[in-house]
Amino acid sequence: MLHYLKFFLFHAIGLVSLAALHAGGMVTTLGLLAVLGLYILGDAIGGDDLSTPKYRHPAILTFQLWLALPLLAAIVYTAVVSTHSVAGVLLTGLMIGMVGTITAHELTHRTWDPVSMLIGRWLLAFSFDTVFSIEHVYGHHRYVSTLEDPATAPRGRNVYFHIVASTIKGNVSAWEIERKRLKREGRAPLSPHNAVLRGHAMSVLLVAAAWAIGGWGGAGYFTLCALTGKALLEVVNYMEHYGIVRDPATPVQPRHSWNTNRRFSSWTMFNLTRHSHHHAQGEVPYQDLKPFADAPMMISGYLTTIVVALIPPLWHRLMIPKVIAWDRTHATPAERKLAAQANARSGMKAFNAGDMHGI
Amino acid sequence: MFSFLRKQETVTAQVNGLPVTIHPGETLLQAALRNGIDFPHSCRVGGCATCKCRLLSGRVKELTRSGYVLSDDELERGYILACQSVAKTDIAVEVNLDHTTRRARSKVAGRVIGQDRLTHDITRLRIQLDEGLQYKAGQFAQLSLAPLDGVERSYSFATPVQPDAQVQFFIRKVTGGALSTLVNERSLIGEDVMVDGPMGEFWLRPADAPLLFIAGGSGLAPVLAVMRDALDAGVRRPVTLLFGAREQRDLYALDEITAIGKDWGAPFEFVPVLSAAAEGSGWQGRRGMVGDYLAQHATPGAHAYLCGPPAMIDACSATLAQCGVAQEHIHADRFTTIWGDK
Repeated sequence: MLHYLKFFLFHAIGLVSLAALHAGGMVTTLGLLAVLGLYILGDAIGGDDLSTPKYRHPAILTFQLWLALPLLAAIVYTAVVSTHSVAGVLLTGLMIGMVGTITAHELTHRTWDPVSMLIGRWLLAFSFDTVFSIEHVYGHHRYVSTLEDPATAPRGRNVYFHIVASTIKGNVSAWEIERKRLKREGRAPLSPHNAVLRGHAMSVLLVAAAWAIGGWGGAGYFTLCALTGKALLEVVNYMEHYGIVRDPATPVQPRHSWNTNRRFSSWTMFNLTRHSHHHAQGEVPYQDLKPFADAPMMISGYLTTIVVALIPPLWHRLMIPKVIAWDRTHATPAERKLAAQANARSGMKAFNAGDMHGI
Repeated sequence: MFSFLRKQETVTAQVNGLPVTIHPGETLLQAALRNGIDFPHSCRVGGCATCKCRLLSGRVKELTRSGYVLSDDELERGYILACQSVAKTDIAVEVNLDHTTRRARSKVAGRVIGQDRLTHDITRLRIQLDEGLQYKAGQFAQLSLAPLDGVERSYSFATPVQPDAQVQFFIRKVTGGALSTLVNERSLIGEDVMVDGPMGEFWLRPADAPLLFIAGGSGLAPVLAVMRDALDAGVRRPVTLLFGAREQRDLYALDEITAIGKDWGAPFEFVPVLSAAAEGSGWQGRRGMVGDYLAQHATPGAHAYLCGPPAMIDACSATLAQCGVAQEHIHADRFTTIWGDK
């Protein structure tokens, strides 16, 4: 029973944010701080969840995922019609990322279920990122932890640069993938068959809806929230594979992602935290992902790590030793050579302080 | 979500002529890997085309548009992605196994990441491999450890293929055995190892007959792997597991067996038998040799899988034959120590 309820924690946090946005003013600021505090504290004291229970009714879990769409629509509607504030943008952006993108990520992997795919694409439209459903599968999963992957952050990169670079390169990559696919099917790139254009049209429709509800102010405010949500996804991409290297000719293994099994993050993010298994077997539904306690581990739970990533000096101070330890304990001999090249390219002294990682 | 609308039927795929049973909802790749075929693959989500193969007959449902990753020429010639194809009928595919046929048996490097005692003389070794090694649950491999250059010993995989490319072996200390003594007496965490496999014919044959597993000592390893794999694959055949050991301190993995039995969708009976339990030791269970209790459990229609010391296997095979179990339904893996302390 608890195993079904625990994933409703996600909806509870969404509802708390909704209420905070509705109240406006100081309450929105308090709501934002409460959500951030809850995640950071929850992960700090909640420990790890290493269980992988068998679910007799996975349909309930799928329904939980679908609920994200009405929930997110309600949150964004409330944000647009309530008082506008910086805290409001941050909290709404956070929810677009947590309720929207994370759920959409899970749903758009379910290629066997058209309803999930549709809901997932609409959730992505809230962060102007429907191309994610193309780039993520045909780009990221194929090239993860190699130089070809826009979403993998190389050693030494700063998170703010990554947000911009990965967004641009991700869109270019999705466009190229789609253009090639249409060419193979004998269609022009500028046609209704183009999923990139169709996807962005969905986002335009949402902006238009915000305009209808709140005028130009509403449209502008929603756009800010959406871009915040998109930036959040790129921060998460940054954390998930930072500094890891792989030879594109070798299969993706659990060692090619940073994993975390923090209880609170796992329950509120549909096990996105169990990222090592996700990349090794992308077709596995979230409830069946295994914790992989031996995989490379992130600094802490997701929100804590997001906050650390946003402070580049702190990030590098904490992550460089982890990356260097990765070379030593996880990398194959071939990967150690790639790692040495990555260290040289990083332009950071700390990555090149002596050849202590076994070449 | 709408899985109840799907037809719950198994179909068969011929992969380069090898028959593979596909369970409902399973992709061609999942089925092939489950059957121990080293089917080429990488991303598993339809993004990389490593698992492309040519559909020779039958129909499949494609979960994603293969046009994203296959060339015009490949699409024309009927190529599909195994990881995104659900068979709607019996199918036949042709896949280029060139890079894998030569390494149907392959050597994969790894590192010891766990070493824990199961009993006073059996240690479980957990190994993280650099890349996945395909095997059928029940098979074994040649294991060598960096500190013992040139020494190779055969051990059965104690789990089915794991998505994290970890493998486990149960290693019983054998007097005079170099490798088994080292594993049971020294910490090996972080040591490099080489796993060369798979080998062996001890794996579960598809059927509906009741199952009789007979394990002695560390012979429980492949039996656990087979049962765990069957559980994951939704096999629902009645099971009796006879586990022979000397004393209570030689019993292990009892929690694991209980957990499998709890989830098993059909009758599951676990019968531990101790051959040397001291009087007054408090042992309430059966005493003697496993073979003594076999006749109670062996029905003529059962399929038997035996793993353990040769003496146990010989005695049990004879009893099984007397009980009317057909020779072709008796599968045994003899743990010999003549040429290796398996």
